[in-house]
Amino acid sequence: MFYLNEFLKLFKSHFLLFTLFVVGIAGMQTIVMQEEWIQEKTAQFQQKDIRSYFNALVSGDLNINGVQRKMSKLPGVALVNIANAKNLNQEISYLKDSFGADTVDKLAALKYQKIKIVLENKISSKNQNLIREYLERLIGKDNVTMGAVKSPRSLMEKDKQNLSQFFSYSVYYGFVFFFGLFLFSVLLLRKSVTNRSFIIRKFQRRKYVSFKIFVSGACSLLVLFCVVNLLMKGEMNTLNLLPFVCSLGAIMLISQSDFTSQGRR
Amino acid sequence: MKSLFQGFNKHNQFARKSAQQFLFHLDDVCVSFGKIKALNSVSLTINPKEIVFVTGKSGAGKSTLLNILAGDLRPDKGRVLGLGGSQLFVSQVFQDLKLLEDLSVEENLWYAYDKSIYKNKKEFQEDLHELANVLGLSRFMHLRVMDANGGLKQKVAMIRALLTRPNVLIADEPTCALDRESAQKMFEVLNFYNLKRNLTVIWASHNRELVKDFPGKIIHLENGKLIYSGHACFI
Repeated sequence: MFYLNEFLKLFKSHFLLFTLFVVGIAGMQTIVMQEEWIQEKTAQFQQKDIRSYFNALVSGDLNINGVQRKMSKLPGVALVNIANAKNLNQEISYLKDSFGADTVDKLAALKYQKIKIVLENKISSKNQNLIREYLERLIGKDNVTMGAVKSPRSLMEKDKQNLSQFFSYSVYYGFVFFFGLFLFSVLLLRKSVTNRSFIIRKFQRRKYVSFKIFVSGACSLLVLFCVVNLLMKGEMNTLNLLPFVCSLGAIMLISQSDFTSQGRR
Repeated sequence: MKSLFQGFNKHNQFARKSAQQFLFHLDDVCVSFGKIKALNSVSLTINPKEIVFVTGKSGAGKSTLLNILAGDLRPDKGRVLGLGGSQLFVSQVFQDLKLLEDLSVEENLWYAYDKSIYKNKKEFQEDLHELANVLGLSRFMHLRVMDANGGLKQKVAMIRALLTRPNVLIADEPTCALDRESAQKMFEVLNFYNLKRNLTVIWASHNRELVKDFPGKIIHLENGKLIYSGHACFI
């Protein structure tokens, strides 16, 4: 408790570094314990990013929700998004600046709405055209203006392998990042902790003080975040002890002088 | 002052046991920093309960000698024999004081609180306030050390060292920022600890005039060499 108290005193004098220390520990523990969830989310993100889509301006007189419902049910359509009024107003004000208020006011009077139709993966260009034709037939050729199909997949196809490999290691990158953050904070806090530990060692007959201060702080936080993650996930395995091993190893290396500069007499 | 004695005797039993023994014995000790010889074949003995003044000009080797005695430095050549064991506790007043500048005077003094020495916090607090009163520090307990003057900081460092109830006190220029009256007061406190609590005091000072007035043994160094070791009255 004495060493933990000394560690907590750093919060007052080194707020930023103390926060980095906590974020580093929390990040390491969360990444290791929520690995599956992160992999799942990364995979979803990858899927989402490579989908083709096209935008369409639809007459405001139509029931846009009905169009959205019908288009969503169409095979090959993954998602239909309606641009919200806030964004639309922003775009109109941007257009006013570019083209002049008169022109845009006339256009605004036409009352149109923007929808984004996201297509499913690996859909052929023939099927893409069929979907566009269906939309034209559904609301009438005069009531809709469609943009070209944008296909980020074609862009990503080149680097698809590299990217998927990159994403498959995302957990490790995350762990290394947070471990780096933790290491950085410990290295910068070392001077202050060493000053305190020197005084405690000299005047309170204690040994290995800076090591104990760092270990008590790191272990308390690791246990805390371990419990939080355990409550969220409900299980843990031996790999979850990786942050404990890494942080204790790093602290031992950094506090090496603690073990060599004592007990000379 | 009387309450300061309580609970102190057991920590000084070693002094009675080893009345005839030396506390430190240096035999032909040499220490070099690069080409500079900080200590050159120094041999001396310090006995328990002695008050020893280490004098000499700046760079004479006083601090090196104190570091050797405190166990913070190892000699390149020669032997350092000490009473050793867990019964010997050396406390120090460092030349650079080593105070935590962002903390208050009182918070710094609490770093001397050792559960194995004091029965409880109250006992420590009594000692703390007593010493603070004697050295005129009571008014400044809540002052941040970074805002304190040099003399005040030296008093804090001295009180912190005494609060650890040491057997040996090694003080490196503990009065260089103090006026003569305050230095006299500090010496009186150390003298009291020496007489009543068997504290061995090793005090380094470049001011020979100051130490002339005080009883004790003098070790005079010049360019790392021991010039004189004996009682002040024979110098």
